[in-house]
This record gives sequence, C-alpha cells and structure tokens, in this order.
Amino acid sequence: MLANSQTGKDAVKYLDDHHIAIVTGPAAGGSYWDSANNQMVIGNDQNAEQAALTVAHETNHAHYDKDGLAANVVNDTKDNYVNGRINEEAEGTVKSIQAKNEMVAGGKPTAAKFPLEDEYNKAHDDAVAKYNHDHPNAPAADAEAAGKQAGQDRVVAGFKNGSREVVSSVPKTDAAGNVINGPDGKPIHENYTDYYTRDWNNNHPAPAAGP
Amino acid sequence: MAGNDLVDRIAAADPGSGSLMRAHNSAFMEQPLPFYRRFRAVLITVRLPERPVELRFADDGNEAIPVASAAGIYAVNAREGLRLDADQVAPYFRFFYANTAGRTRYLVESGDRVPWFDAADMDAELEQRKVAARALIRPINVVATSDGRFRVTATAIDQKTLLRLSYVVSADGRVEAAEPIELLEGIPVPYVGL
Repeated sequence: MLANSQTGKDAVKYLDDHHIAIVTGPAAGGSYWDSANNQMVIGNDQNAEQAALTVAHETNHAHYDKDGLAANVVNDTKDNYVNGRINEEAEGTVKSIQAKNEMVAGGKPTAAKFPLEDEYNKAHDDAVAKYNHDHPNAPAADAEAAGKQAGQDRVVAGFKNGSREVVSSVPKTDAAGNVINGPDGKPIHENYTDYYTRDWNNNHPAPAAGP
Repeated sequence: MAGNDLVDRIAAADPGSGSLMRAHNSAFMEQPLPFYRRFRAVLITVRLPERPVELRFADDGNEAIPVASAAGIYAVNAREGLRLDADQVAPYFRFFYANTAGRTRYLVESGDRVPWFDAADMDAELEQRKVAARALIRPINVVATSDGRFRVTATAIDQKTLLRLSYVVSADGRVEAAEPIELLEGIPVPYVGL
C-alpha cells in the first residue's frame, strides 16, 4: 500500500536499508518505535490502511533515533528538548498525512485518518491559495512548499501546550480500567509538551537547597 | 519499580515487553480485581522518549499473563474458573475494554468524566457539540438475559467520535461485540497522538 506514495516508498526503503522489522503488538499499547529491539511495533487493532500511515509515522522516529537527530534529554536545554521532540512528533504526523494525500492523489482511496489531518490540509490549501494570489507567476513548486510549511506549522501548533488539541494518551486509568481523576476532578491526560517537560525535569533534578 | 520477581515473570511471558520496560523508565501499578481470586491486574507505563506505552498483564505471584487481548484475558479466566455474577459484569467489562479496545478508544461513563477540549466552553460551536455529546453519554448498563448471559451497553470515544457499544458477556467472561454505533462525530475532545 505504501508503494502508492513517494513518502511511503521512502519509509519502506529506510526500513529495508536499516534492517528494521515490523511486528504487531497489543492494541492497548498502540504503535511505537522500539529502538532496543530495532523494530517497529504496530498495534494489532489497525487495519492495513491505518498501519500503512502509522509505518510512515514511526519510520520518522526511527530516522531521528538512528541518525542522531532526536533531541537529547541529558544535553539539551529544556526548551530545545521539548521543542525538538514536538517537532519530531509533528514531522512524523505530517509524513503520515502526506503519505495518505499522495495515495489518494494516485487513485488509491484511503479512509484511514491521522490526527490533525483536516487541520493540516486546510492550512496547506489556504497557504497555497494565498501564495498563488500574492505571486501569480511563481512556479507551482514554490506554492506547494509554502503550503507544506503552513501545514507543518499548524500540526506543530496542535502539539504545543495551551492548545491541548493532541494528547499523548487516552485518559489515565488504573490497572482495573477505572478512570483516574486529577485534583481538579477531571480525567488526567497529558499533552506532549507536559510529557516531554516531565522527562526533561526527571533528568535534571533541582539541586538540593543549601544549609 | 516493581519487584524483580514480577519483572522476571513479565519478561518470561513476553520477552518484547520485558526488554522494553528494562530499556526505559517504567511505572508499575498493581491492584486486585473484584472478579478474580488469585490474579491481580498489572499496568506498566513505559516512558518511551516519544510517548508513553501501556503494557497490561495479570499476575498471581507465580505466573504473569499478557491481557492486552481477549485471548489473554480468557486464559486468565480459565485459570480462575471465572463465573461472573451480575455485580461483577461492569467492572469486568471496564477491565476488558481498557485492555483490548486500542490506543485511541476509551469508555466514558458520565459527561463530567470526559476530557473535554479546553476551548469547549469558550467557543459557541464547540459548546453546542459538547452539550449534544453530553446528552448521549450513558453509564455502563448491564441486563441479564434469559440464557444466563449479560447484555452490556456503554458509551466510548474513539478520537473525536462518540460511540455506543453493545456487548454480550457470558458468565465465563467470553465477550461478543456488535459493531459500535457512531453517535456523534467531531466532539470537542483532544486527539490521541499515534
């Protein structure tokens, strides 16, 4: 299925070149890049279309990890770490959306949707229209580049703190499946900024107070 | 961190999960379940650099069994000789759904316990959708059927779609699911990242 899109072909080539296995895992765990085992785990609740888009996403994580592009929780500043992780997540999300768009454009209808897909496409299309209006004689590739940048910016905004458009997990439950409420009485679910910030803080404990 | 014995049992049951939780910071939660006598639920949240991953097991101190699938839960049911009574069906269903439904789906039992999008109270259109969704949310309902089974209806969310669930649960814990009914799309809750 990924062969119907250039983004998908690139992902498959990367996996082949790096001997990365794709395995299925429990639905509850979802899909993730498992660097310790050089494999990509795809949740077994996903159909073929969903899995194809997810492979495009997780391949981006593998690429960041294996090629040294990922933010470093020990060496980076907090802002650089959080922004770097969010940009990686957003880029992977955009890869999936672009893979789908390329599949659809190539005559392969795809029902599966990725988070922020509608938002990406609207930002992309608006930016392309504006670019063409402002630069009537510019090459189409320039307008497309502006569209992709606007779409990527929109996805990044969706992952940033404050908007709370995307969270890193469903509301937290205990081991029995009961929803856990926070101090404000609302279900606990962490957005990506909070997740990455907590990881950075855990690796940079505040110095003990002096005497 | 859990005791080494539990970690070893989990690694023996599922080497992939074992290596994953040993490679990353992981939080363990154990608790008894009202419908099992020996096995306790174990939820492990592995903090991958990209996002958290939840691993789910049942453990009786001698054996850990992966329960993130119906087959895994049935394996525990068989060891327990499970016989559900009516009062145990809702907690059993809660456990079953949390373990098997997938990363983007979760039960909602009350409008007060939905992670509404923060802007839902500040935007007229979103507020309208929130009100409409709240009106459709029902707690888990269990009805005994004439053949000794239980019909379960519940409400769930998958990404931004509100669903009506309909299941039949046997006393031995076997579950039959009907196709979920989509009640409302575009409800004002966050996406769950993939």
